[in-house]
Amino acid sequence: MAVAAGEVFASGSQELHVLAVDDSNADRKIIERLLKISSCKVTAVESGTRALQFLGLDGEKHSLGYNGLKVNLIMTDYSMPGMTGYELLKKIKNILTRIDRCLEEGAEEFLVKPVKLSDVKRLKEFILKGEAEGSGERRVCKRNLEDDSHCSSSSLSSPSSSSSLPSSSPTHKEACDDDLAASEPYSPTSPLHPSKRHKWLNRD
Amino acid sequence: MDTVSQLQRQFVDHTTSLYREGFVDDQFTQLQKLQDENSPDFVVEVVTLFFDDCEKLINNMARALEQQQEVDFKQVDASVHQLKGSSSSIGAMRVKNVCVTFRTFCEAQNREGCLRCLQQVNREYSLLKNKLQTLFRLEQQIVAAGGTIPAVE
Repeated sequence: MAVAAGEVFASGSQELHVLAVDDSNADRKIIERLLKISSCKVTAVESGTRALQFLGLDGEKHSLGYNGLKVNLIMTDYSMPGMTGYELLKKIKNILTRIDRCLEEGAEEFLVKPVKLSDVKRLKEFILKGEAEGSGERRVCKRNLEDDSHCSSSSLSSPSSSSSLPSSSPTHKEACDDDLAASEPYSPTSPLHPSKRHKWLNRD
Repeated sequence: MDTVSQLQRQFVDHTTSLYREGFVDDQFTQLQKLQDENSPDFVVEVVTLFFDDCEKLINNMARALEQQQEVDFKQVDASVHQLKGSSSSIGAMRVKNVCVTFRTFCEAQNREGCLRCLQQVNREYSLLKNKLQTLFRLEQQIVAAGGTIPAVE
């Protein structure tokens, strides 16, 4: 049994990127082929843990949204050793729900701790690119999102981090308390964008 | 009859018997549909992965069932479940069917029944492996002799 969750995002010339999770080598190869034949980009991993790592939701390393590995759909086997498909989807949904709430309140992106220099660099480019494409007013907040096991009270970033963002253009910046790194959406394609168009597909 | 025709004839006969004797089912046909010039060895590759899985899982089952004291039937069942899944995915019908029976013995914690099923699984796996290797060999020979692989209904 496989369950699929996430946002199905078909955007004309753009390829759907599917993250397939299955502990069986044969099954992984089959699903990979099926998806490739259907003109999808596929990343096949062998476990829930690997899937979370790939999505950048394991609390390690990189920040989701800036690694260019946007995933439109997650398809996972249900019974796997370690983390079942159900547990994986629950984890993802939990993290996304938290992110979602922040995004709905005005933030546009987020970073996962620990934050690195490259994160801030990419954030800067992201914002500058947006400004170049002529977006209007934006609200910029900064917050680091910790993973499930940590309480939100410890996740507030220091106020000094918001001041590191560029202020070269006529944009309006606001530092909020419970901040989330953000800029106005100038691109309709956001990585695993959970807000608004949030849709969960469950299929037996 | 020239070589290619002979080989093709053998191929058709062999394929037909594979289906008729229940070694493979429609899922195997589905796999073949996924093979094309972009992925010319797809079926061989998947089947190879399956056989590797098989061996690993059969060993796990054997080890678990060998335990003199307490057999961990949950562990055996977990392996059987995995094998059932993979065999189903590639269309290895007879292997899959043995797994179905195997699981009921696991649930009943019946060691003797399990051991019998393990033997059967091993046998079906070996038979299938031989037959598929023959099939792949015939395919190679046909192509090498300049022929095309016939479609079998």
